[in-house]
Amino acid sequence: MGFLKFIVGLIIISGISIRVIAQEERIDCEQTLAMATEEFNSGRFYGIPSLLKPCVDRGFSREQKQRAFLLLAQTYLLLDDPISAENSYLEVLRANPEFETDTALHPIDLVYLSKKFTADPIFAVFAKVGGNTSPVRVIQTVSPSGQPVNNEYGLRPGFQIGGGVDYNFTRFIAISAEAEFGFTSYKKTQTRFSDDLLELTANQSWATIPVYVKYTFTKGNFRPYGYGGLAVHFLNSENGKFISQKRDLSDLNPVILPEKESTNRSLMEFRNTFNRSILIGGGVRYKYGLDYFFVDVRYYFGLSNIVSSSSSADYTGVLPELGHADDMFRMDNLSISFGYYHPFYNPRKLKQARTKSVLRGINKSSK
Amino acid sequence: MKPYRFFVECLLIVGSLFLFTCDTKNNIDPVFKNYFIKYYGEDGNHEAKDFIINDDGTVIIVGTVTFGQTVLTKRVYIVKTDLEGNELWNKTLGSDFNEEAADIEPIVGGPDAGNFLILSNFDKATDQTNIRLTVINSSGDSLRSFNYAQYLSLRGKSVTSTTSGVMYLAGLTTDIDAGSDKNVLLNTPPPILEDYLIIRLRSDYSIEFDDRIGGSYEGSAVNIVPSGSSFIYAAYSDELTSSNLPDNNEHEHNFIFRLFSNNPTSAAVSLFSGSLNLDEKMVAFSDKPLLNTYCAIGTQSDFNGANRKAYAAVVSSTLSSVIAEGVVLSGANEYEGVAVAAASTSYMLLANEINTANKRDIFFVKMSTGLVPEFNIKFGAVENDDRGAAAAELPNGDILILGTMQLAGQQDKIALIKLRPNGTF
Repeated sequence: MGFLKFIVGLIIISGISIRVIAQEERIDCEQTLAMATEEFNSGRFYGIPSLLKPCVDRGFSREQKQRAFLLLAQTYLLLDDPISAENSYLEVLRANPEFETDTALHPIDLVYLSKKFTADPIFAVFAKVGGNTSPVRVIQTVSPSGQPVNNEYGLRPGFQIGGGVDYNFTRFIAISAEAEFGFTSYKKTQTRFSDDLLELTANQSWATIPVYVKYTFTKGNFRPYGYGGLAVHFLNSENGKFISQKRDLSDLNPVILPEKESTNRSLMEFRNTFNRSILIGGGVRYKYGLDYFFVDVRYYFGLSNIVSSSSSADYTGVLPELGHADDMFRMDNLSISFGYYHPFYNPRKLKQARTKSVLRGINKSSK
Repeated sequence: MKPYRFFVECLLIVGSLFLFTCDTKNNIDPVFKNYFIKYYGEDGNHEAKDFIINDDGTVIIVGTVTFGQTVLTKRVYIVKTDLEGNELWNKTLGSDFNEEAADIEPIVGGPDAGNFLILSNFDKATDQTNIRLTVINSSGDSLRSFNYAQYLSLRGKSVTSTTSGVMYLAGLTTDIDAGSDKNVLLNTPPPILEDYLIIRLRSDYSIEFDDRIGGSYEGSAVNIVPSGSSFIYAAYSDELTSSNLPDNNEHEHNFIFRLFSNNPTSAAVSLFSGSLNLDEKMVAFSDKPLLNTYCAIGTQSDFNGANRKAYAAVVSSTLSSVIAEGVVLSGANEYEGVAVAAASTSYMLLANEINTANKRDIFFVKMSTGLVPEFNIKFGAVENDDRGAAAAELPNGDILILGTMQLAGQQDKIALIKLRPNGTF
């Protein structure tokens, strides 16, 4: 027991010591960085790399590293060492992938150098969770009765969880794919045989794979985006609970029997498991460090009739038992999700420098 | 081409295909219109009895509607549908008494040819039932009706229209015929409870003659069908069967078939079907011949009514022989015969399967004239009491089955089932 306490104490003391040492080194390196800046401003460029090297190797914080390598990039540009300048700028981006030069703040040669590089993420992953509701769009009413029936569909809440990946073609445009597991629900109330009621509350579970093209605004802490695409949906299960009530209201002595509730039962016998939809959506990302929180609103327009065409035919199921036949219908879905977005920044040199915008930036800043 | 443009274009193409394949009213499979179970009825409970298929493809169904929960009011209910099961109209026939439908047939001869006969029985008083014949047109309008009450209590089971305009009613009397002495050969003659009854009507619906054919404690004429220039009446009874079946037991019913030209009492040819120690009660006899045969279906049971099985017999149209007979449906559950109809090459037999909770399902079986089964299908929910009423084949071979289904254990509704010729939806 005593030995364990000793070990724990040692670890704590070591941790504190390391932190203190690192803090001291950062203070030292801040002074070193100030000296290097002074050397740069004085035009003494040759000693700067060796001055900064000890801190570059072990002492800079991320922010200090950004400043140090930016200084080194400028230094190497002035020393006419483009390879070292490029390497230094890459280190700037590794220290801060979202760093961008500004024609108003940085020398023009550094701005041009920066246009040879990007740290824009190629891939980003995200996870989300949220709620949804599913409007039913009837294609064809199917009456279990020889007479027309009145069907009303009601909205019910559901929820979904999912994750996905963005593949960024540009800083703004990405193609995204997701895997989403959703639980949806709807209610159908049918009036038939004059006044009788049959109410179905159905719960479904889905696996959905949406693929879409996304446009994202890339400035500011709040970054809106919008997208559109396609989705395939696999209906895993649908269970329904029925409540029926016989109501003979036109008789001289009206009869209203008590509601009768059925047990929960599968409706998959009359469902197409593979369905399609188109989707649109949008949301806002809130910048949190180098990652994001986001809120996303999406609407799936169902394209498929999710009911098999033999819903009016059944030997022993809900049609003979309860007189229930499904309408032919598509199902939409409106969802709101909250999630976390993590881009994989990838500092790299571009095959072709993006220098067209530099002159525009200069003109803009001169105004 | 930049890769993202390629991807976006691919996405647009796939998207267009998706849109192109959007399911709409115009491209969904209309199978739900062609094969179905459809229910008919409004307020009240509705019991199916029989139907006919018209040449224009419409179907007229007759049944009984029962209103109320404690005090029951029963009326004849008629509904006309198209072949997609859409209801064209429905009528409830008025009556001063509780009345139950028994049969519907097209009128093929006489001044009312083209119209329809509805046979019903109404409760004139306690334990007194009379027969009513109602003529309706194709719109369901009641043109005229006639009551038959020549005995204290009588009940019709079927009506037959002939091309000459003559009509036959088959059924039974349900009052005691105290004057009968035809059971003297029995060891212990019981009171005569029922006689079978055959009424011949002129084309003006007046009675030309009626025969109350006794000799049994219980018995009933089930149907009368033309056979050449003669007629066959099919019945069941527990009478002595002319030593063909030396059955002395009370309530030991058998199927009876008799050929007659004028007077059914003196039938020329008789055939019997049944077993010595079991009870066979006929419920239906096919209206039309199939390959020069007719088929009857009923229920076989012990004398106490237990161990019910569906029993059928196929007889030649001249009643020269019984071609096939026997139990056609039996098993762990019990069965009761309901209806039989001739299809193009087979007989369609309808029965009820009765489970241990005494709930019934509709059981359809297609059989050859040798009573060899081709296929069978069952409809219904285990906890509900569903029962068959009639079956028929459409000109294209599709099958129509009429029955009564109990929905949600709360109410009875007339059910029309349309199947493919192989019995699938």
